Amino acid sequence: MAGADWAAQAMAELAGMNNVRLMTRTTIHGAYDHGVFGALERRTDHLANSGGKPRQILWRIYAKRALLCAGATERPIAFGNNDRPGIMLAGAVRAYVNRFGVAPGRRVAVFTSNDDGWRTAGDLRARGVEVTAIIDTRGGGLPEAPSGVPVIAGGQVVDTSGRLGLRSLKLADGRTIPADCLAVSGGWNPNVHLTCHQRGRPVWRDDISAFVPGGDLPPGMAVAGAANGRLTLAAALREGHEKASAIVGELGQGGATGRAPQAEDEAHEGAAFWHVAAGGKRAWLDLQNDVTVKDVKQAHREVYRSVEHLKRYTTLGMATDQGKTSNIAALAIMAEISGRTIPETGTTIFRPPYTPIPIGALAGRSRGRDFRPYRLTPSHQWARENGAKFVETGMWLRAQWYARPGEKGWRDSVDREVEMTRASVGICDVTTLGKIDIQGRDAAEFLNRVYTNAWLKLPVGRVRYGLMLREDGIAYDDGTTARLGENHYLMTTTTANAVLVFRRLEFARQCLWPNLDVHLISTTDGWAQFAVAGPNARALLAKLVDPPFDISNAAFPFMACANLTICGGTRARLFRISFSGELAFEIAVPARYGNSLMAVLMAAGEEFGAVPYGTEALGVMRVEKGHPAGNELNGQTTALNLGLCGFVNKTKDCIGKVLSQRPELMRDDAVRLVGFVPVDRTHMLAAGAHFINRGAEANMENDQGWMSSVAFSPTLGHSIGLGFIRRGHERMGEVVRAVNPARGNEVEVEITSPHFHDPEGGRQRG
Amino acid sequence: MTPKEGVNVAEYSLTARSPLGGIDQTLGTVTFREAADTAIVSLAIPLGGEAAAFDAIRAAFGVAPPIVGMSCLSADATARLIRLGRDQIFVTLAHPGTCPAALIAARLGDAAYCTDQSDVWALLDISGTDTRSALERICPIDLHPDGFALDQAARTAMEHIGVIIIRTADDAFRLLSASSSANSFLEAVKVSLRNLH
Repeated sequence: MAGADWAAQAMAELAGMNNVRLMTRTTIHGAYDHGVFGALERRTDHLANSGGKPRQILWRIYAKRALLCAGATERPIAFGNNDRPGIMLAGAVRAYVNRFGVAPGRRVAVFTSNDDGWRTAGDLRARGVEVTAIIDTRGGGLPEAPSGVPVIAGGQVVDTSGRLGLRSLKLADGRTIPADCLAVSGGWNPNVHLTCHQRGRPVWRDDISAFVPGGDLPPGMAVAGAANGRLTLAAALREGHEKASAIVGELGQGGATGRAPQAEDEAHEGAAFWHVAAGGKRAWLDLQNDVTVKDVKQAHREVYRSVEHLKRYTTLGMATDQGKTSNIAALAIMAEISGRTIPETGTTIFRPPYTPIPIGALAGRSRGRDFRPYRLTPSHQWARENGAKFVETGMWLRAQWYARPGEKGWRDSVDREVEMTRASVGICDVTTLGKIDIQGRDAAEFLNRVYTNAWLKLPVGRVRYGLMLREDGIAYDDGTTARLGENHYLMTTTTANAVLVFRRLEFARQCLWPNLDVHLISTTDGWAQFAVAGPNARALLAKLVDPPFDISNAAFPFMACANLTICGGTRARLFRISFSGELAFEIAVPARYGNSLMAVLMAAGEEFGAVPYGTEALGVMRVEKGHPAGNELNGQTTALNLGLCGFVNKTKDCIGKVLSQRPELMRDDAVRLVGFVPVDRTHMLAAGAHFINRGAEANMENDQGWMSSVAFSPTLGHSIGLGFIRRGHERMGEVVRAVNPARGNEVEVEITSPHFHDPEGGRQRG
Repeated sequence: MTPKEGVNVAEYSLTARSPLGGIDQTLGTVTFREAADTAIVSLAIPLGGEAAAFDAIRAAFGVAPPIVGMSCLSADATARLIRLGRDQIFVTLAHPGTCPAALIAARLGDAAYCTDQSDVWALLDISGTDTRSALERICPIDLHPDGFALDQAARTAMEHIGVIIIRTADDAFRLLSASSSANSFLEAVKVSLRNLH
């Protein structure tokens, strides 16, 4: 049977098996940890029309065992002017002739150091192509030449000529051979690349003058065939069968594995021959990077003798080829010059990728709108239909403000939303805040350990503000937690930290305190939650709450929470909490009702002139109220800095408590969170400005702190800011400069309380 | 403020909408269907209360809880129990209401902590010949029939989105992903299908 027929038959057999996947046009480009292989499938680049399908697919393959049969790459011989068009590897000539039926030249010569080159001559003759000479570097022991082909034993090519392409070769003995194509074979290098991807080092085999895989292979990998130095057909087939059988056994898939196909070993004798010393013409080693034999010698003269230095000094083996054809010859020349053996000289090892991988394949579909998933709030559609401008906060799209006809810019919208909320009532989708359902007999104790303040006495039906610290004592996150039942709490986190806090709490319960009966599950996406804020908030909600539930201040005071129904029986949760400083509630319904509830709240609020408000108005109102947010909880600030020391319970421990009391964090001159107003009320403040005392030079040494958040307060009619300044709490009324070198300006500001709006809290308790 | 008295019919009512809009669509050989009327309740097993919880689950559903990474149907085949962790089981059941946790809690008493998860997740049932080929492009776990048995369940991530995947039939899977990003997830699965062939 012809080899090609056998191969076709084997492929057909494999294709018919339902536990075998054949991946053609695919290259494994890396062997990564834990048996993971990267593969690039070239999908449509070869088609005239891709049909809208991807060009390539990057596959990640998890393998318990892998058998690497990567074959070998032919290596060239360096000789004078070997970069002329028409000079190519003998294997390439064979592929043109045998696979594509194309003659790469009319008169072809072969220059070889081994028997394999002779195969090329034979194949050319079999197809009727003239072979003008076989030039073999070996002096004797040569195979039999095809009839009529002249053989030059011990011959060496020293130069080539031809203006646009090869026309003739000049030999060391002065003879000229006519040829428009020269097939060169310097032997074969096993493709050991993937065996090196986890620092495996190839070892030298003198008998084939090549590096083969060392013993230190990536876990689960075996190598067979030419890649393992078995350069002939029968040997390769035999080793493939043996190693595959062994793997099948290891995987416990025993059973008969048949016999290896019988084949003959082709002639493969050869003698190491790397470059032609005679002639003095430029002899290229790395055709892609223009590195010649002379360059390697120059590197040696300049003492770049380690292979790593040689590579970087000459650029040998860089770029797409990655040394596949050039490395060994250069190494051999370096060894020759320095009087060492090749293994003594060493080799570079290979890293992924084996072949170039397009960045587009790495990115895949993650581009443009598909760069990452979007999370939409339950009222997203309502917001889109009602003028919302959206902002990305993490993966969420949130309404930033709701533009109304006639408004000239965002400030008009935001000012109106703030004014209407403070005057009557506003509604904001706050679903994005993290919600963590906490249940268990030890839930209160758990909260006591993760929050700085005390939790053991919070009654059912009440909500409390909580502050968390990092292990190092820096403020981490804050929010409110409601006690819904005897052993049932609902924690809220900031939007940004929702996932991080959840993960941290899971770590705490599983690893720090596995003896506590505490269970956590996220319900962030399950409940659509809306802040309803403003003097008319209660009147609006009273229209929706089902009787007999009573939301009067006496029955449902500030920081109360309850399960109830609204709109004729829809399950809901109500919380009397306020971020805006107004009389406010947060109402939650199962997310499926969220879009509808937004519309219902607006309809019910029509008589009060209710407005929807977005994250900008939310931010303005929280600055007016002096609540810290992400800009203040920025990973640098402590409870002391934030003015939240009252929330750090003195009589119990919690995560971060001990380290929060390091002397350096407790300094008297620590920065404190305070408010700032411009002395000239027409000036606008800017976040990021640093505070410098009057009369002091604006430099790092005189830095007193920084402005963290600013807003134009429509309530006060001027710009206001929150910021941190040394001993701020003792400096009320003092004027300092807010210096902004980045913007090249400064503004005089007066230090005030951070609570610009209703500091006594009468409104939110009303 | 006094509560409204004698009002039986609310002035306002809310309408529900499922995260995938009740999709029921066939593309090529693959059918996408949202199981919108399905409730999900998470059961957390109290520390030290495993035996009591398992007894209660057996009594309530007529089956023993599956091992971690497996799911099973209740004896009457109306509910599926999915064991996601040592102390966590999800129960899915056809239930159009919005208070399934109370329903399950009533069956189990205090043997487990129940949390309603119905609106947290979008449920996408996907089935048909090319299902595996589409999913394997974005799903990092091995979905080969020999590697992911019938009723097997796993937590994984596809296109940056956390997903619970359950094999419900030969070529059918139920995929749970967060309801807020459900449409991004659906699009990711559809793109994977479109890119085949």
